[in-house]
Amino acid sequence: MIELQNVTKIYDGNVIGVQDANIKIDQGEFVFLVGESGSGKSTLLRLLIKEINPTSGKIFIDGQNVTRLRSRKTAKLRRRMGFVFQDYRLLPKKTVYENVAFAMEAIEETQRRIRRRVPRVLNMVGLAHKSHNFPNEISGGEQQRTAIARAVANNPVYLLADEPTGNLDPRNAKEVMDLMEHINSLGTTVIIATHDKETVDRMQKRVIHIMDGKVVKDAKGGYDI
Amino acid sequence: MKLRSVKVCVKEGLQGISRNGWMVTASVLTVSACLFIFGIVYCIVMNVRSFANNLDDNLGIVAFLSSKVPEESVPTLLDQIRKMDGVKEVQYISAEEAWESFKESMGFGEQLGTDMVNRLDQDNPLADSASFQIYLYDAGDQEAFVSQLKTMPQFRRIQYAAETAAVMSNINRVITIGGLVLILLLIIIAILLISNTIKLSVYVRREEIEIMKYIGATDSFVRIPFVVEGIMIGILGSILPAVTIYFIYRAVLTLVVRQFNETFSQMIHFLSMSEIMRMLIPAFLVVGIAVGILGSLFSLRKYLKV
Ligand SMILES: Nc1ncnc2c1ncn2[C@@H]1O[C@H](COP(=O)(O)OP(=O)(O)OP(=O)(O)O)[C@@H](O)[C@H]1O
Ligand SMILES: [Mg+2]
Repeated sequence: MIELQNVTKIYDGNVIGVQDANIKIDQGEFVFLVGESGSGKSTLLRLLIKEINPTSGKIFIDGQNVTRLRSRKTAKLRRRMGFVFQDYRLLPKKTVYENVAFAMEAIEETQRRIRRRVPRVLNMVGLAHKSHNFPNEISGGEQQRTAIARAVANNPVYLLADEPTGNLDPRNAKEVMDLMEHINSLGTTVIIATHDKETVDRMQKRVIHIMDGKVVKDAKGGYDI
Repeated sequence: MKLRSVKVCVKEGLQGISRNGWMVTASVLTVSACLFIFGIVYCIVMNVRSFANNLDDNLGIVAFLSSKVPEESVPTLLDQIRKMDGVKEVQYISAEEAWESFKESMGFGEQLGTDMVNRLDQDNPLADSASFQIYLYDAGDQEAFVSQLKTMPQFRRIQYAAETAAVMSNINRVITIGGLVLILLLIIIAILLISNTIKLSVYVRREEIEIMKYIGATDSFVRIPFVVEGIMIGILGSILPAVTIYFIYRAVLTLVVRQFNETFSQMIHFLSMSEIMRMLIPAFLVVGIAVGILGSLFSLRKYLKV
């Protein structure tokens, strides 16, 4: 369970990222974080993976106050979180397979487990046949799915994605969202930041709408307030 | 950390070296240069020290006993001197012994012996030259010690090489301190050089490092390949100077033996090859490895803050 209590993030120069957010997300939920560009969606996600720390307020993840953690504890926390970057951030000199295996090597998994797990994950995202291609040899949708495969390789409790459909055409966007729903159905809590109104309206999930850093709506349904 | 992942890290360290081949070569060579100078300085310092110590040994104080001191009281007096501050060794040299050793050390043939006796008539060695030979731990303390001896009526005359002793101990000190400072400077330069190379290696892999951190890799896990790379640069960088110094030192030793006669090369006693190498090779490895580790840790600090 994720719980934000009065979380405020103010960037250098008095720029408001998030203001007084109170959000509770239960295990197994599927949540959209929506809002205009600059409203604070990425800021919220970055707070959750501890890329940045809140200026004030508290963040609890599975009951643990993560506002101030030492580097080793932060590493442990991040192992429970899969993160899909807006720009994928695949390693260009590694193949699809190696990019996913890399996530498991980074947390010191054994080669045996890596060899068993990676093909399964690639199979799930429908990229088994592209295992040995490099990122620049596959399409944007496929790169996005590789990034998702990497994020779920370590079986995270939470899957966080920043604009996963931002650069995709509607057909690819739908494929990626179907994949997200599938991953959610396996028990992973999914949190997606997006301003893709069409997708949000279609899927009718819980929507947290942010405007200028403030939560203005938190309900099941469509994009609009 | 599991053994298997250590293997992965070492592999990646090696990859890092092959990835930045030129930079690594340059940095290995500069580390070699630093260690080479380190080695030369070390050889000089150690030899000067050993030379100075050797000389110290020969810079004894000779205190001639007054004729009023009876033979029986010598052991008590000997004991008294031995207990004084800074005394390393005291020897009693009776008049007969003094004469014998004098003849021997000058290397005069038997036929000259009688001649010498005649010449040294007024300070007859057989009669009046019983003495104490006193060696101090630090030849620099001789002056103070001698003034102490002069207050004792049992001695008639005291001989010592005042200036030589002071100069030697000064040279010794200056060279040792100067050498240490120089070596420290070289070590710092080597650390900076290695850290620059690793910085490049880190820069090339900065994306990877960032992603690893977001995935939940620990700092130590991220560090290891770079530390391994640094260590390898350090070890590679110490091989060349070790070999070079071996050959240079060997050449110097042969030169000394060939050029100077035996007495001189005995006086300026050079440390043997094994005495030098026994210390220098471990020192190179320790410094090389330490410099490699420090250099890589310095260069990583910035990137681990994510
Ligand atoms: N590192 C930063 N330093 C200063 N201000 C920042 C920083 N990152 C974000 N901001 C500001 O914080 C506010 C929220 O930004 P954020 O990236 O969270 O918005 P967003 O909702 O993700 O936007 P988008 O849909 O364009 O990705 C914006 O005004 C932005 O300019
Ligand atoms: Mg954003």
